Amino acid sequence: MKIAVLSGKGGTGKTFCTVNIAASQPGSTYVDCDIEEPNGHLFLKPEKVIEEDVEVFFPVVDKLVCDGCRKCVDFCKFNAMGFVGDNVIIFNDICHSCGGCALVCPQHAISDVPKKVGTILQGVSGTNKVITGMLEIGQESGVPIIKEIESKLKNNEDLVFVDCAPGTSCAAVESVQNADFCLLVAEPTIFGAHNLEMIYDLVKSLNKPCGVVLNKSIGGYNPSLEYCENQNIPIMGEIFYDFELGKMNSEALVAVWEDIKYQTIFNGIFQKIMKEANNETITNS
Amino acid sequence: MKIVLPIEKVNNEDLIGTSFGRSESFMYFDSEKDETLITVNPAAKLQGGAGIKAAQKVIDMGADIVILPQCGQNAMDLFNAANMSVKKSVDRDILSNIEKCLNNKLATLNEAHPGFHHKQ
Repeated sequence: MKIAVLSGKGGTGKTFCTVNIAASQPGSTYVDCDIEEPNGHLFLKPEKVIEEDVEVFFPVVDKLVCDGCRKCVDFCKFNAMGFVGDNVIIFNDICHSCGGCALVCPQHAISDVPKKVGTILQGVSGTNKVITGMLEIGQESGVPIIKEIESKLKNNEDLVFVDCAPGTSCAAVESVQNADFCLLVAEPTIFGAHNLEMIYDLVKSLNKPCGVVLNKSIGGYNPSLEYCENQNIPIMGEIFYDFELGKMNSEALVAVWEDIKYQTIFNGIFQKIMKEANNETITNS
Repeated sequence: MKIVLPIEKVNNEDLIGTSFGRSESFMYFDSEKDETLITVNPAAKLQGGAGIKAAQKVIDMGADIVILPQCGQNAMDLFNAANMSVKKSVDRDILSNIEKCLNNKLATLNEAHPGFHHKQ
């Protein structure tokens, strides 16, 4: 079972929710796919960490072999190549490492050269496994790192919680592809409801079952709740704005490990997710 | 001298395009032959890499000079590789910029524009 945690924008409490739900379920795996700013590890403080580089391949042209036919330039759907004088010019920031240019080159003048784009860190925190993807500073896209993490999780039958990148970027979409359920975290503001709508559109278009956690609730009118009611999106739980939680977060403490009442709240959210996911499976089978 | 300028809209060929890669077409002017040609910009509606594709088009047109209000780094890299002269337009009027260029009154654009992402 793989549960992806998403939000329409940063700062709604994705990491807070993912870390705490994962920590409430002993033996589960926490995966940080928020590769631009992974911070779940600050709370879970994994030990015995094994580090692994993620590389992608960028094309390099052998000028002595290239006959200037421009087939590679014409082929590149990302427009990452130019041709000036007798030289192919490659823009690595635009290149998606698809390898197509090397395939279409009749002279076999293009070879792939590896370049590090990020790191995957695997460790343990108590009974939980912790996997963190980190994008190298200055790199454009974290998608290759998420793909690599996904391939590691391919045959994983464990309970996995994925902390996704904020918004509806390529990185967020990539993290959701193989999820069985999406948990959307929303703030109780008009802006929050707008962002919820964006992320709901995304999971709907990917045909993923989903539910919402209303975070930072303050009682009274909640535009995100209103949106859920209008769209018939099930609510998995509500977490109230709480000084104590804020303090624990600022000290990088895991709330469910500090106080049994949070264990109850987050376990409750998890049970609802399981119920909802099972309902979906029955309805769709 | 072969000069190329980006045109904002196909139906308004007097106005210089503010975004080079996204301009709808290009004006090509050969001062020796006194010849003008308008070509569609193949990059105008691309999802990404528009600056590169548009610059490639301008280079393939055989231009010596390109006149534009600003230029992104990738397009600038290609123009530099092609030893082209990149001039900064002074207003949005195509003809007056060509005239100023022929009279050597346009400044060279040395720095690439950092782009509008995350900027107001």
